[in-house]
Amino acid sequence: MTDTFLLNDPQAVARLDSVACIFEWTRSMSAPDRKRFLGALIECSDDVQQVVVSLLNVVKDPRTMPAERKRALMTIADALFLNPCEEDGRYGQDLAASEPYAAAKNAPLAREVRKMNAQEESFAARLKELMTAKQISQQELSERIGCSQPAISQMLNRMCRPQKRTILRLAEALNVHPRELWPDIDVADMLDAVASFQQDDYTMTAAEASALADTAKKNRPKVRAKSLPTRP
Amino acid sequence: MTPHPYQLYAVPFTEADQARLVGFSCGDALWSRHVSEWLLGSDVLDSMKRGTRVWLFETAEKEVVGFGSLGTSRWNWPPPDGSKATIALIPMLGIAERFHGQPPDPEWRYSRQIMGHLIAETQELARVGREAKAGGPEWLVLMVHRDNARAIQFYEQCGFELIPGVERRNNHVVMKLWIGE
Ligand SMILES: CC(C)(COP(=O)(O)OP(=O)(O)OC[C@H]1O[C@@H](n2cnc3c(N)ncnc32)[C@H](O)[C@@H]1OP(=O)(O)O)[C@@H](O)C(=O)NCCC(=O)NCCS
Repeated sequence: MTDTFLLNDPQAVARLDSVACIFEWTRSMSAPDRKRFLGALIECSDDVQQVVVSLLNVVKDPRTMPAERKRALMTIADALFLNPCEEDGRYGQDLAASEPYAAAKNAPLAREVRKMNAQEESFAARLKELMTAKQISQQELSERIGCSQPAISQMLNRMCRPQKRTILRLAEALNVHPRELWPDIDVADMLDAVASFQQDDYTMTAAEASALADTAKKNRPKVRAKSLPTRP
Repeated sequence: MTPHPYQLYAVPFTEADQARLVGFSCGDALWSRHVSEWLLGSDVLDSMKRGTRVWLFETAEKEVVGFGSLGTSRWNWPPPDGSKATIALIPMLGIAERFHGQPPDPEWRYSRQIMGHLIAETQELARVGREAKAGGPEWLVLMVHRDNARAIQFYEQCGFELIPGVERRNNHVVMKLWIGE
Protein backbone atom coordinates (compact mmCIF):
# COMPACT_ATOMS: atom_id res chain seq x y z
CA MET A 1 0.00 0.00 0.00
CA THR A 2 2.47 2.59 1.17
CA ASP A 3 4.88 1.54 -1.52
CA THR A 4 2.36 2.11 -4.26
CA PHE A 5 1.47 5.43 -2.77
CA LEU A 6 5.07 6.55 -2.65
CA LEU A 7 5.90 5.27 -6.06
CA ASN A 8 3.05 7.21 -7.55
CA ASP A 9 4.45 10.44 -6.22
CA PRO A 10 7.41 11.51 -8.37
CA GLN A 11 8.67 13.92 -5.72
CA ALA A 12 8.72 11.22 -3.07
CA VAL A 13 10.53 8.90 -5.42
CA ALA A 14 13.12 11.54 -6.19
CA ARG A 15 13.57 12.11 -2.48
CA LEU A 16 13.98 8.44 -1.71
CA ASP A 17 16.48 8.21 -4.50
CA SER A 18 18.61 11.03 -3.10
CA VAL A 19 18.43 9.68 0.45
CA ALA A 20 19.42 6.26 -0.84
CA CYS A 21 22.25 7.90 -2.76
CA ILE A 22 23.56 9.57 0.36
CA PHE A 23 23.41 6.40 2.42
CA GLU A 24 25.05 4.43 -0.31
CA TRP A 25 27.81 6.94 -0.63
CA THR A 26 28.47 7.37 3.10
CA ARG A 27 29.02 3.63 3.41
CA SER A 28 32.60 4.16 2.26
CA MET A 29 33.29 6.42 5.25
CA SER A 30 34.56 5.43 8.65
CA ALA A 31 31.86 5.39 11.31
CA PRO A 32 32.81 8.72 12.96
CA ASP A 33 33.19 10.44 9.58
CA ARG A 34 29.88 9.15 8.48
CA LYS A 35 28.20 10.35 11.62
CA ARG A 36 29.78 13.75 11.27
CA PHE A 37 28.84 14.03 7.63
CA LEU A 38 25.22 13.10 8.25
CA GLY A 39 25.10 15.36 11.30
CA ALA A 40 26.35 18.30 9.23
CA LEU A 41 23.88 17.50 6.49
CA ILE A 42 20.94 17.46 8.86
CA GLU A 43 21.99 20.76 10.39
CA CYS A 44 22.42 22.72 7.19
CA SER A 45 19.68 24.66 5.47
CA ASP A 46 17.36 23.13 2.90
CA ASP A 47 19.16 25.08 0.18
CA VAL A 48 22.51 23.61 1.10
CA GLN A 49 20.99 20.13 1.37
CA GLN A 50 19.67 20.44 -2.13
CA VAL A 51 23.05 21.51 -3.45
CA VAL A 52 24.74 18.61 -1.68
CA VAL A 53 22.29 16.09 -3.07
CA SER A 54 22.68 17.37 -6.61
CA LEU A 55 26.46 17.30 -6.24
CA LEU A 56 26.29 13.73 -4.96
CA ASN A 57 24.46 12.84 -8.11
CA VAL A 58 27.36 14.29 -10.05
CA VAL A 59 29.80 12.28 -7.95
CA LYS A 60 28.07 8.96 -8.47
CA ASP A 61 27.35 9.48 -12.16
CA PRO A 62 29.76 7.16 -14.09
CA ARG A 63 30.06 9.76 -16.84
CA THR A 64 31.56 12.32 -14.46
CA MET A 65 35.21 13.09 -15.19
CA PRO A 66 37.70 12.65 -12.33
CA ALA A 67 38.42 16.39 -12.13
CA GLU A 68 34.73 17.18 -11.98
CA ARG A 69 34.20 14.56 -9.34
CA LYS A 70 36.96 16.05 -7.25
CA ARG A 71 35.55 19.53 -7.60
CA ALA A 72 32.08 18.34 -6.61
CA LEU A 73 33.51 16.62 -3.53
CA MET A 74 35.37 19.73 -2.50
CA THR A 75 32.27 21.85 -2.95
CA ILE A 76 30.30 19.49 -0.74
CA ALA A 77 33.02 19.71 1.86
CA ASP A 78 32.97 23.50 1.63
CA ALA A 79 29.24 23.63 2.01
CA LEU A 80 29.27 21.36 5.04
CA PHE A 81 32.55 22.59 6.54
CA LEU A 82 34.14 19.20 6.10
CA ASN A 83 37.63 18.50 4.97
CA PRO A 84 38.03 16.21 2.01
CA CYS A 85 41.10 14.06 1.74
CA GLU A 86 42.32 14.71 -1.80
CA GLU A 87 43.26 11.15 -2.80
CA ASP A 88 40.14 9.17 -2.27
CA GLY A 89 37.47 11.74 -1.63
CA ARG A 90 36.92 10.48 1.91
CA TYR A 91 36.72 12.83 4.79
CA GLY A 92 39.59 13.81 7.04
CA GLN A 93 39.24 14.59 10.70
CA ASP A 94 40.27 18.18 11.01
CA LEU A 95 37.14 20.22 10.76
CA ALA A 96 38.73 23.40 12.10
CA ALA A 97 41.71 23.28 9.72
CA SER A 98 39.47 22.98 6.69
CA GLU A 99 37.79 26.30 7.33
CA PRO A 100 40.57 28.72 6.37
CA TYR A 101 41.21 26.65 3.27
CA ALA A 102 37.58 26.63 2.23
CA ALA A 103 37.17 30.27 3.17
CA ALA A 104 40.12 31.36 1.06
CA LYS A 105 38.41 29.88 -1.97
CA ASN A 106 35.01 31.25 -1.36
CA ALA A 107 34.30 34.81 -0.24
CA PRO A 108 30.74 34.40 1.01
CA LEU A 109 31.91 31.37 2.91
CA ALA A 110 34.65 33.46 4.50
CA ARG A 111 31.97 35.74 5.81
CA GLU A 112 30.04 32.83 7.26
CA VAL A 113 33.16 31.49 8.93
CA ARG A 114 33.90 34.86 10.50
CA LYS A 115 30.36 35.10 11.74
CA MET A 116 30.38 31.59 13.10
CA ASN A 117 33.62 32.26 14.94
CA ALA A 118 32.21 35.32 16.64
CA GLN A 119 29.05 33.43 17.51
CA GLU A 120 30.98 30.50 18.89
CA GLU A 121 33.04 32.76 21.06
CA SER A 122 30.07 34.42 22.68
CA PHE A 123 28.32 31.08 22.91
CA ALA A 124 31.19 29.58 24.91
CA ALA A 125 31.36 32.64 27.17
CA ARG A 126 27.63 32.56 27.82
CA LEU A 127 27.55 28.87 28.45
CA LYS A 128 30.38 29.22 30.93
CA GLU A 129 28.59 32.08 32.69
CA LEU A 130 25.30 30.24 32.92
CA MET A 131 26.95 27.08 34.24
CA THR A 132 28.69 29.10 36.93
CA ALA A 133 25.56 31.04 37.81
CA LYS A 134 23.46 27.89 38.01
CA GLN A 135 26.24 25.86 39.60
CA ILE A 136 26.04 23.06 37.11
CA SER A 137 29.08 20.93 36.40
CA GLN A 138 30.08 19.71 32.97
CA GLN A 139 29.22 16.20 34.05
CA GLU A 140 25.74 17.18 35.20
CA LEU A 141 25.02 19.16 32.07
CA SER A 142 26.19 16.37 29.81
CA GLU A 143 23.83 13.98 31.60
CA ARG A 144 20.92 16.37 31.27
CA ILE A 145 21.30 16.79 27.54
CA GLY A 146 22.53 13.29 26.80
CA CYS A 147 26.00 13.95 25.46
CA SER A 148 29.47 13.17 26.74
CA GLN A 149 31.30 15.35 29.27
CA PRO A 150 34.22 15.89 26.84
CA ALA A 151 31.72 17.27 24.31
CA ILE A 152 30.70 19.94 26.83
CA SER A 153 34.32 20.64 27.57
CA GLN A 154 35.00 21.08 23.87
CA MET A 155 32.16 23.54 23.53
CA LEU A 156 33.50 25.57 26.41
CA ASN A 157 36.92 25.60 24.83
CA ARG A 158 35.50 26.46 21.42
CA MET A 159 36.87 23.31 19.87
CA CYS A 160 33.65 22.31 18.31
CA ARG A 161 30.80 24.18 16.80
CA PRO A 162 27.52 23.74 18.63
CA GLN A 163 24.70 22.44 16.51
CA LYS A 164 21.34 24.09 16.59
CA ARG A 165 19.68 21.16 18.29
CA THR A 166 22.40 21.11 20.89
CA ILE A 167 21.83 24.78 21.62
CA LEU A 168 18.12 24.20 22.02
CA ARG A 169 18.72 21.24 24.31
CA LEU A 170 21.28 23.15 26.35
CA ALA A 171 18.88 26.05 26.71
CA GLU A 172 16.20 23.70 27.92
CA ALA A 173 18.55 22.00 30.35
CA LEU A 174 19.73 25.35 31.70
CA ASN A 175 16.21 26.72 31.74
CA VAL A 176 17.02 29.79 29.67
CA HIS A 177 15.82 31.15 26.37
CA PRO A 178 17.98 29.82 23.49
CA ARG A 179 18.87 33.40 22.67
CA GLU A 180 20.87 33.60 25.88
CA LEU A 181 23.17 31.05 24.35
CA TRP A 182 22.89 32.08 20.75
CA PRO A 183 22.38 35.82 20.52
CA ASP A 184 22.02 35.83 16.77
CA ILE A 185 18.52 34.63 17.25
CA ASP A 186 18.29 38.27 18.34
CA VAL A 187 20.11 39.72 15.36
CA ALA A 188 17.34 38.50 13.12
CA ASP A 189 14.82 40.16 15.42
CA MET A 190 16.83 43.37 15.35
CA LEU A 191 16.82 43.43 11.57
CA ASP A 192 13.06 42.96 11.61
CA ALA A 193 12.78 45.90 13.97
CA VAL A 194 14.84 48.03 11.59
CA ALA A 195 12.68 47.06 8.63
CA SER A 196 9.51 47.88 10.53
CA PHE A 197 10.92 51.28 11.52
CA GLN A 198 10.87 52.29 7.88
CA GLN A 199 7.38 50.99 7.24
CA ASP A 200 4.98 53.52 5.75
CA ASP A 201 1.62 54.00 7.40
CA TYR A 202 3.01 53.61 10.85
CA THR A 203 0.76 55.35 13.33
CA MET A 204 2.75 57.33 15.86
CA THR A 205 2.23 56.74 19.52
CA ALA A 206 1.00 59.64 21.62
CA ALA A 207 4.55 60.20 22.89
CA GLU A 208 6.00 60.31 19.38
CA ALA A 209 3.24 62.55 18.13
CA SER A 210 3.63 65.04 20.93
CA ALA A 211 7.42 65.14 20.48
CA LEU A 212 7.19 65.65 16.73
CA ALA A 213 4.32 68.13 16.98
CA ASP A 214 6.25 70.23 19.44
CA THR A 215 7.97 72.49 16.92
CA ALA A 216 8.71 74.98 19.66
CA LYS A 217 11.48 72.58 20.61
CA LYS A 218 13.61 72.42 17.49
CA ASN A 219 16.85 70.68 18.34
CA ARG A 220 19.16 71.56 15.50
CA PRO A 221 22.30 69.81 14.24
CA LYS A 222 25.44 70.31 16.26
CA VAL A 223 27.73 69.02 13.55
CA ARG A 224 28.63 70.80 10.36
CA ALA A 225 26.12 69.73 7.72
CA LYS A 226 28.22 69.20 4.63
CA SER A 227 27.82 66.75 1.78
CA LEU A 228 30.96 64.75 1.19
CA PRO A 229 32.64 64.81 -2.20
CA THR A 230 32.13 61.83 -4.44
CA ARG A 231 35.74 61.09 -5.44
CA PRO A 232 39.02 62.94 -5.79
CA MET B 1 45.53 71.56 -3.38
CA THR B 2 46.03 68.12 -1.88
CA PRO B 3 43.02 66.94 0.08
CA HIS B 4 43.20 66.56 3.83
CA PRO B 5 44.40 63.03 4.69
CA TYR B 6 41.26 62.33 6.71
CA GLN B 7 38.84 63.56 4.08
CA LEU B 8 36.08 61.00 3.43
CA TYR B 9 34.37 60.43 0.12
CA ALA B 10 30.75 59.40 -0.34
CA VAL B 11 30.35 56.56 -2.81
CA PRO B 12 26.81 55.44 -3.68
CA PHE B 13 26.45 51.84 -2.60
CA THR B 14 25.30 49.18 -5.05
CA GLU B 15 24.69 45.47 -4.65
CA ALA B 16 27.96 44.76 -6.47
CA ASP B 17 29.84 46.33 -3.52
CA GLN B 18 28.82 43.49 -1.23
CA ALA B 19 31.55 41.27 -2.63
CA ARG B 20 34.32 43.67 -1.61
CA LEU B 21 32.69 44.35 1.74
CA VAL B 22 33.14 40.80 3.00
CA GLY B 23 34.71 41.11 6.40
CA PHE B 24 33.28 44.58 7.06
CA SER B 25 32.41 44.58 10.72
CA CYS B 26 31.16 47.28 13.06
CA GLY B 27 31.96 45.14 16.10
CA ASP B 28 30.66 42.13 17.94
CA ALA B 29 28.03 43.63 20.23
CA LEU B 30 24.49 42.61 19.40
CA TRP B 31 23.65 46.09 18.11
CA SER B 32 26.79 46.13 15.97
CA ARG B 33 26.40 42.72 14.39
CA HIS B 34 23.03 43.48 12.91
CA VAL B 35 24.47 46.68 11.44
CA SER B 36 27.11 44.78 9.47
CA GLU B 37 24.56 42.11 8.64
CA TRP B 38 22.18 44.75 7.29
CA LEU B 39 24.79 45.96 4.82
CA LEU B 40 26.08 42.55 3.78
CA GLY B 41 22.77 40.78 3.48
CA SER B 42 19.45 41.39 1.79
CA ASP B 43 18.13 44.05 4.18
CA VAL B 44 20.02 46.89 2.54
CA LEU B 45 18.63 45.88 -0.84
CA ASP B 46 15.08 45.69 0.51
CA SER B 47 15.46 49.10 2.04
CA MET B 48 16.82 50.55 -1.21
CA LYS B 49 13.79 49.19 -3.02
CA ARG B 50 11.77 51.43 -0.74
CA GLY B 51 13.78 54.45 -1.79
CA THR B 52 16.59 54.47 0.76
CA ARG B 53 19.87 55.95 -0.43
CA VAL B 54 22.99 54.25 0.84
CA TRP B 55 26.56 55.48 0.71
CA LEU B 56 29.87 53.92 1.50
CA PHE B 57 32.30 56.35 3.05
CA GLU B 58 35.84 55.82 1.88
CA THR B 59 39.24 57.31 2.39
CA ALA B 60 41.21 58.64 -0.58
CA GLU B 61 42.84 55.18 -0.67
CA LYS B 62 39.38 53.63 -1.17
CA GLU B 63 39.35 52.02 2.20
CA VAL B 64 35.76 51.66 3.44
CA VAL B 65 35.45 53.45 6.79
CA GLY B 66 31.70 53.10 7.15
CA PHE B 67 28.33 53.44 5.56
CA GLY B 68 25.19 55.44 6.05
CA SER B 69 21.68 55.44 4.71
CA LEU B 70 18.85 57.88 4.36
CA GLY B 71 15.22 57.26 3.61
CA THR B 72 11.81 58.73 4.18
CA SER B 73 8.64 57.28 5.53
CA ARG B 74 5.05 58.40 5.79
CA TRP B 75 3.81 58.27 9.33
CA ASN B 76 0.26 58.83 10.48
CA TRP B 77 -0.60 61.26 13.21
CA PRO B 78 -2.62 59.32 15.73
CA PRO B 79 -6.39 59.52 15.54
CA PRO B 80 -8.50 61.56 15.44
CA ASP B 81 -6.08 63.59 13.25
CA GLY B 82 -5.13 60.74 10.95
CA SER B 83 -3.18 62.91 8.47
CA LYS B 84 0.30 61.88 7.31
CA ALA B 85 3.71 63.37 7.88
CA THR B 86 6.83 62.73 5.85
CA ILE B 87 9.67 61.79 8.15
CA ALA B 88 13.29 61.51 7.09
CA LEU B 89 15.05 58.62 8.73
CA ILE B 90 18.38 56.94 8.97
CA PRO B 91 17.60 53.23 8.63
CA MET B 92 21.17 52.22 9.38
CA LEU B 93 24.60 53.65 9.97
CA GLY B 94 27.86 52.07 10.96
CA ILE B 95 31.59 52.52 11.07
CA ALA B 96 34.07 49.66 10.86
CA GLU B 97 35.24 48.90 14.34
CA ARG B 98 38.86 49.86 13.79
CA PHE B 99 37.75 53.36 12.80
CA HIS B 100 35.60 54.01 15.87
CA GLY B 101 36.73 57.24 17.46
CA GLN B 102 39.10 57.89 14.56
CA PRO B 103 40.79 60.16 13.81
CA PRO B 104 41.23 61.68 17.29
CA ASP B 105 40.91 65.20 15.85
CA PRO B 106 37.22 66.03 16.41
CA GLU B 107 37.29 68.33 13.41
CA TRP B 108 37.95 65.39 11.11
CA ARG B 109 36.29 62.61 13.12
CA TYR B 110 34.88 60.15 10.58
CA SER B 111 31.64 59.71 12.49
CA ARG B 112 30.95 63.44 12.27
CA GLN B 113 31.87 63.71 8.61
CA ILE B 114 29.39 60.91 7.94
CA MET B 115 26.61 62.42 10.02
CA GLY B 116 27.36 65.84 8.48
CA HIS B 117 26.80 64.30 5.08
CA LEU B 118 23.55 62.60 6.04
CA ILE B 119 22.22 65.78 7.61
CA ALA B 120 23.20 67.90 4.60
CA GLU B 121 21.43 65.46 2.30
CA THR B 122 18.34 65.55 4.51
CA GLN B 123 18.34 69.34 4.54
CA GLU B 124 18.44 69.23 0.76
CA LEU B 125 15.40 66.91 0.76
CA ALA B 126 13.63 69.30 3.11
CA ARG B 127 14.49 72.29 0.93
CA VAL B 128 13.22 70.61 -2.23
CA GLY B 129 10.03 69.62 -0.41
CA ARG B 130 9.49 73.17 0.83
CA GLU B 131 10.02 74.67 -2.60
CA ALA B 132 7.67 72.20 -4.22
CA LYS B 133 5.23 72.81 -1.36
CA ALA B 134 5.12 69.03 -1.14
CA GLY B 135 5.49 68.79 2.59
CA GLY B 136 9.11 67.66 2.78
CA PRO B 137 10.47 66.21 6.01
CA GLU B 138 11.11 68.49 8.96
CA TRP B 139 12.43 65.86 11.31
CA LEU B 140 15.21 63.39 10.87
CA VAL B 141 14.73 60.37 13.12
CA LEU B 142 16.71 57.27 13.91
CA MET B 143 16.34 54.22 16.07
CA VAL B 144 19.01 52.89 18.37
CA HIS B 145 19.26 50.05 20.88
CA ARG B 146 18.78 51.52 24.32
CA ASP B 147 21.99 49.90 25.61
CA ASN B 148 24.11 51.18 22.73
CA ALA B 149 25.58 53.94 24.89
CA ARG B 150 28.35 54.86 22.46
CA ALA B 151 25.96 55.46 19.58
CA ILE B 152 23.50 57.38 21.76
CA GLN B 153 26.31 59.59 23.03
CA PHE B 154 27.45 60.19 19.46
CA TYR B 155 23.94 61.05 18.24
CA GLU B 156 23.49 63.47 21.14
CA GLN B 157 26.78 65.13 20.27
CA CYS B 158 25.36 65.61 16.78
CA GLY B 159 22.25 67.28 18.18
CA PHE B 160 19.76 64.39 18.29
CA GLU B 161 17.41 64.17 21.25
CA LEU B 162 15.74 61.11 22.65
CA ILE B 163 11.97 61.07 22.23
CA PRO B 164 10.86 60.34 25.77
CA GLY B 165 8.46 57.52 26.48
CA VAL B 166 8.98 55.74 23.19
CA GLU B 167 10.18 52.20 22.91
CA ARG B 168 10.12 50.37 19.62
CA ARG B 169 10.62 46.64 19.11
CA ASN B 170 13.59 44.88 20.65
CA ASN B 171 14.51 47.60 23.14
CA HIS B 172 15.02 50.35 20.62
CA VAL B 173 14.62 54.02 21.40
CA VAL B 174 13.96 56.78 18.88
CA MET B 175 15.87 60.04 18.52
CA LYS B 176 14.95 63.14 16.55
CA LEU B 177 16.67 66.11 14.97
CA TRP B 178 15.06 69.20 13.48
CA ILE B 179 16.07 69.75 9.88
CA GLY B 180 13.28 72.14 8.86
CA GLU B 181 13.67 75.91 8.91
C1 LIG C 1 27.82 54.61 16.37
C2 LIG C 1 29.11 54.86 15.63
C3 LIG C 1 28.78 55.16 14.18
C4 LIG C 1 29.79 56.10 16.22
O1 LIG C 1 31.07 56.28 15.64
P1 LIG C 1 32.36 56.46 16.57
O2 LIG C 1 33.52 56.78 15.72
O3 LIG C 1 32.45 55.28 17.45
O4 LIG C 1 31.88 57.72 17.40
P2 LIG C 1 32.78 58.78 18.15
O5 LIG C 1 33.94 58.12 18.79
O6 LIG C 1 33.05 59.94 17.27
O7 LIG C 1 31.73 59.28 19.22
C5 LIG C 1 31.33 58.48 20.28
C6 LIG C 1 31.44 59.28 21.57
O8 LIG C 1 30.92 58.48 22.63
C7 LIG C 1 31.91 58.29 23.61
N1 LIG C 1 31.76 56.95 24.13
C8 LIG C 1 32.44 55.83 23.80
N2 LIG C 1 31.97 54.78 24.47
C9 LIG C 1 30.95 55.23 25.22
C10 LIG C 1 30.08 54.61 26.16
N3 LIG C 1 30.15 53.30 26.40
N4 LIG C 1 29.15 55.39 26.77
C11 LIG C 1 29.06 56.71 26.52
N5 LIG C 1 29.87 57.34 25.64
C12 LIG C 1 30.81 56.60 25.01
C13 LIG C 1 33.22 58.49 22.91
O9 LIG C 1 34.23 58.85 23.80
C14 LIG C 1 32.88 59.59 21.93
O10 LIG C 1 32.86 60.85 22.53
P3 LIG C 1 34.13 61.88 22.37
O11 LIG C 1 34.33 62.09 20.90
O12 LIG C 1 33.65 63.10 23.07
O13 LIG C 1 35.26 61.19 23.02
C15 LIG C 1 30.06 53.69 15.72
O14 LIG C 1 30.49 53.51 17.05
C16 LIG C 1 29.49 52.38 15.21
O15 LIG C 1 29.45 52.12 14.03
N6 LIG C 1 29.06 51.49 16.15
C17 LIG C 1 28.60 50.16 15.82
C18 LIG C 1 27.38 50.18 14.98
C19 LIG C 1 26.27 50.97 15.59
O16 LIG C 1 26.07 50.93 16.77
N7 LIG C 1 25.56 51.71 14.74
C20 LIG C 1 24.45 52.48 15.15
C21 LIG C 1 23.23 51.68 15.01
S1 LIG C 1 21.81 52.69 15.33
